[in-house]
Amino acid sequence: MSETRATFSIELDKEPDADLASDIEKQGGHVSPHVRHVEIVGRTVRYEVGERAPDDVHGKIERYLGAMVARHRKIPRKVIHERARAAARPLERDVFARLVERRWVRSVATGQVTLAGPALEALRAVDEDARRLATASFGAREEAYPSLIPSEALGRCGYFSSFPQSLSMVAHLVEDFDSIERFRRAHLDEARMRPIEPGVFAAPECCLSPALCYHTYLGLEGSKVIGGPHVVTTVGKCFRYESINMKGLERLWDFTMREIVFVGTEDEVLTRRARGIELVQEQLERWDLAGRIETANDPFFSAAYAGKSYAQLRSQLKFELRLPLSDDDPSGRRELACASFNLHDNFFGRTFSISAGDDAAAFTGCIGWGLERWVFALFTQHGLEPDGWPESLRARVWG
Amino acid sequence: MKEVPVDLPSRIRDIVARLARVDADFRADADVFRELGLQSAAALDFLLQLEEEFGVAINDDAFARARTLEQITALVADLRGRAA
Repeated sequence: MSETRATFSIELDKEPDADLASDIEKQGGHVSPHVRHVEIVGRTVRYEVGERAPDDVHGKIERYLGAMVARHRKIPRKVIHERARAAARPLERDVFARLVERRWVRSVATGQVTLAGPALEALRAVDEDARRLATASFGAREEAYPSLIPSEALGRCGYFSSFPQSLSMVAHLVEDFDSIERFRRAHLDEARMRPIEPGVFAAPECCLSPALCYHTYLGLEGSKVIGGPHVVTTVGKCFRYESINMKGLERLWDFTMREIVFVGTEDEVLTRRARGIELVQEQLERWDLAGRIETANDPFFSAAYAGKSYAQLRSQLKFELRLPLSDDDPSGRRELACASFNLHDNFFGRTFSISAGDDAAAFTGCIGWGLERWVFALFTQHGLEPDGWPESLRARVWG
Repeated sequence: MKEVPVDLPSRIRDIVARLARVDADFRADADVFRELGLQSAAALDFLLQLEEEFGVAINDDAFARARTLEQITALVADLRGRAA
C-alpha cells in the first residue's frame, strides 16, 4: 500500500536561479527523514512529507531554505565545450528498467547495484580507457586504496564542515564482552538489526571514503614533490549518502570512481587539468557521445553552500562533463555529470604539509570518472543492442 | 587614474584583517588569499562587505582578478569614481 503524503509550500522572497533551485531540491531530503520530495516552481517551494511527519518538519524546511538562500550570488555557468552526436538516433528511454530486465544491472538495496554482462563490460571499457589515458599522457603511477578512510583525515580535508550530509560512518561494537553478548543474544532469532543501546558503538574511527584523492594527499603528508608533479591514478569504491535522490545508476550511495590526481606547482597542476579536459573531449569524439563541459559547484550543505559555491564558480575550480539523458526536456535537468575536473588551490598542500617548487605549499587537482554513470549514459545514447554502438567500443562491450 | 580617497585603503585593510584574522600591518602587495590565508570560502563575505560598505556593485570576474590590497583598493576606487 502506498504511503499517504501531504504537500506544503513556502514562498521565497524571489525566484532562485536554476542552479540554486536544483541544489535546494537535491539536498532537501537531508532536512528530515519525513521529507519525500522537494520541488521549486518560480518562487514557490513545494515539499511532500510522509503521513507521520511531526510538525517541526516545517520549521526545519524554513531554516534549511534560509541557510541555502542567504548570501547566494548567482554566477553564470561557463560552457567550455559542447558536442552533438554524429549518429542521428533518439536517446533511449527507461534505460535502467531495461538494464534490470536483461539482468545486466540488479538493484541490491538503496543506492547499491550489481553489474553483469555488457553493463559490466562497459564499466570496464571506460575505466581501462581512463587508466591508459592517465598512464600514457601523464605518466601516472598506479595506486590502490582502502575503502575506509580515517575520520580524522576526512575532518582535516574539510569534509565534515562542507558535506556532512553525505558521510557514511563506519561503526563497530565497542570492545566489551557484556555489550557484544547482549547484542548477540538480541539477534538469535532476529535478522533485522535491532535498536542498539546507547554507548555500544565506538566513535567512528573511520568513514567510507567519499573520494579517492584524499588518500593520495594523506600518503604524501610531510613530503616534498620534486622533479615535476606527482601524478597518481587509482580506481575504487566511493560512498556518498544522497537520501531521497538515490535512484538507478544515476545516484548511487556506493559507486566506482577512476581518478587521476595531480600534486605539484600551480602551473604544473593547471596545465595538466587543462590537458585532461582535452583528453576527455577526445573520449567523447571516439565514442560519439553528446555532452557539455561547464563550470560547476559541489553540493555544499546549508550555510557552507553560498560561500564555497561562489569560490568554486568564480575561480573556475571545478568543471563537469554533463551527458544528456533525454532529448525532450526543456528544463535541461535530465543530464548527468559523468566526470569532473577539479582544482583545490593549495588547500591540501597546506593541510598535509606537502611542498612543491620553491618549498611552497603544493597545489593539487584531480579528474574523476563516475563509472556507473558512464555506463548509464552510454546505454542511453547508444542503445541496448550492439548495432547502435560505435565501433571503437562495440567489441569491448559486446564481445 | 582615479583619485583614491585617503581612508579607502585602511578601511579595506581592516576588512581583510578581520576576515583573514591577521594583523592589519600586512604588505599591500600580498595576495590576500594565498599569503594572508583568507579562505576562498570567505571571498563571498569579503565581496558583500565591500559592496555594502562602499556602495558599489563589483563584477565577479574583476573581483577574482584583484588579489592584493592595492588591486582591490584600485577596483573599489574605480567603481566609486564611475558612480560619482
